[in-house]
Parts: sequence; structure tokens; C-alpha cells
Amino acid sequence: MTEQELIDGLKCMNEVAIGYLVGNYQNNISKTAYHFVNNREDAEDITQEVLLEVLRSIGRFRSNAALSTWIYRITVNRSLDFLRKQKNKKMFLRLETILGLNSVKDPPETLLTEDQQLEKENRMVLDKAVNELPGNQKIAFVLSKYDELSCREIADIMNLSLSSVESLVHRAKLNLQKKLVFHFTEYANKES
Amino acid sequence: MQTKKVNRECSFLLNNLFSYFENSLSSEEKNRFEIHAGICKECSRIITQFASLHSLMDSGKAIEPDPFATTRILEKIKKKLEEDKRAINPGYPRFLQPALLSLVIIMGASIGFFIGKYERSSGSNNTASNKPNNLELLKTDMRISDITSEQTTFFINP
Repeated sequence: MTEQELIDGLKCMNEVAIGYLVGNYQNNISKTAYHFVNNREDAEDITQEVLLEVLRSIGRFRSNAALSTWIYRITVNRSLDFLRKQKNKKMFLRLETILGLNSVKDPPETLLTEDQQLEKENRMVLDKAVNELPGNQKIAFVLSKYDELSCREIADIMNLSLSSVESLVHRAKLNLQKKLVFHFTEYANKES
Repeated sequence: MQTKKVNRECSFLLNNLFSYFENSLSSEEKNRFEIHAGICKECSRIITQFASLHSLMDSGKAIEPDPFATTRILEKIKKKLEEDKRAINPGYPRFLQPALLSLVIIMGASIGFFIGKYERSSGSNNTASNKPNNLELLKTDMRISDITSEQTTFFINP
């Protein structure tokens, strides 16, 4: 099925086209969303929302950009919306805990081997460092490093010039490097 | 002088960790990087730690897809689209919605009006039934007049 056939099929709400869209794009959407929210279930919810938005607003899609670029753009926006909502939710939860309206219980820890524990810790350090990057740097870094998109594709998704994206990715890597080196030195100081 | 040179080499290495692991350093720079990593214990420790995080980034690229996710998501989407369709097309022409609403409001108002009217009329009937009518008044008068006539006879014939 060509892209134009897919778009025409989606505009008519053709079941085959819908199945093709979900089958071919769901994995990529999930992957991108996962790298923003770091949770599989949340990434699946975002994927569903993205696909629904694609189907609901396919009529407004202009063919001057690739369908995948448009879908990536929706995915990034939805993921950032999700993070914003989650941040607000966390703030209210913290407020409720301070006021004594809610008691937060830690989930029971599963038994992990030493390697798994180390990997879990490393993943947490990495996710924290990536999440602390400024907005556009984070988007550019995730799309470039994890989704392996070219700077040209990222520029189309983010509506920026190629040079801006290249600079964003470069600055993101420098920032991340700095944060991680700082973490390693702090960790070493604590150990000694 | 020696410390200054070491610091400069350390910062070169720490500023090029990504470039080194992404193989984007020139062979000269790569050489410089590796020579310092071999000398400096602290930098070599940081390289090891960074390498483990960098491999995590690479493994993050390939997240195992859930084989059932496609079916699950497709089902959920179809359900949502059905709901959308039902919300847009409720089974009767759209212009009937305000007409039906107006009809309900008018009916409600009329029912209220009739209930109020009925209450008022039944209220006035109740007050009328409490008053004695003319026939009853006449009977009472007759009874009084009877007594007075009896009394009169009693007083006349003691």
C-alpha cells in the first residue's frame, strides 16, 4: 500500500487502511513515546491516543510532509503533554502527602541480581539526565539517538532548520556528558 | 606544568566521551584520547562508567515489541471510533435536538401551570365547603325559632 493509498483509505475510514496504519506505525510510536515517558503502559496509552488523533484529523493532513513525519510530530506532542500532566499530578500528590491526605506506599521491591540492580540504577541515572535536558534538546536527542532519525527528518518534525537541529543535538550531548561526568565524580566522592 | 597538562588532557577526554563512543573523532584525536585514558586512573574509571551507560542507550534503541499490542490497540481504537460515530450520529436528524429540548421545556412549563391552577381551584373549593350554605342557615334558624316557641309556651304554661 502506497502512502497516498493509505491516506485515502484512512480518510474513508477503511478498515484495511486502519489495520495497516496500526500494524506498521504502532511499534515506532510506542518506541518514541517510551523514550519520553520511560514506561511501557504509558507508552501504549500514548500510542493509542496518537493513532486516534491521526484517524480523527487525517482530513486536515496536508501532503507537503511525509505521513510518518506528521505522526512523529503528534507522538512528540502527546508525550510532552503526558509528561506535563504527570508533573502536575505528582505535584498534587506531594501536596496531599504533606497535608496528610494521602500516604504514599512504596511498591514491593522485586529481587534482582547484582547485575540487574546495577543496570536498573544506570538506567535511572540515564533517564534522569535525559529528562533534565532543556525541552527542545531532549526532543532532538531522543529522536536522534534512540529513534535514529536524521537531522533532516528531525528538522521536519520539529519545524526547525537543519542547522538548529544539528546544534540542538550537539548541545544535548555536551549537556548530557557534563551531567553524567558530574554524577560519576559525585558517586566516586561518596564511595571514598 | 605537569598538572596543567594533565588537567587539559582530562577536560579533552571528558568533553569527547560521546564523540569517542560514536567513532566521530579523527584518528589523531582518538589516539590522544586513548593515551590519556591509559595514564589517568580517574578518567579511565569515568570512561568505564560512561561506556556502560552508552551501551544502555544502544540497547534502548531496540525495545522488544509486544506481539499482542497491535491487536489490543486496534480493538481499542475501533471501539473508540464506534463511540465517536454514535456521538456524532445519535439515530435522529441533528436539527431535532433543539426542537425536542424546546418541546420538553414547554411540556414541563404547561404541566407546572396546570398543577398550579388545579391547586388554586381545589383550595378555593375547600374554603367554600367550610362556610355553611343558605339551606343549613335556614335549618338552624328554624331550630332556634322552635326552641324559642317551646320556651315561650313553657313560660306561658308553667
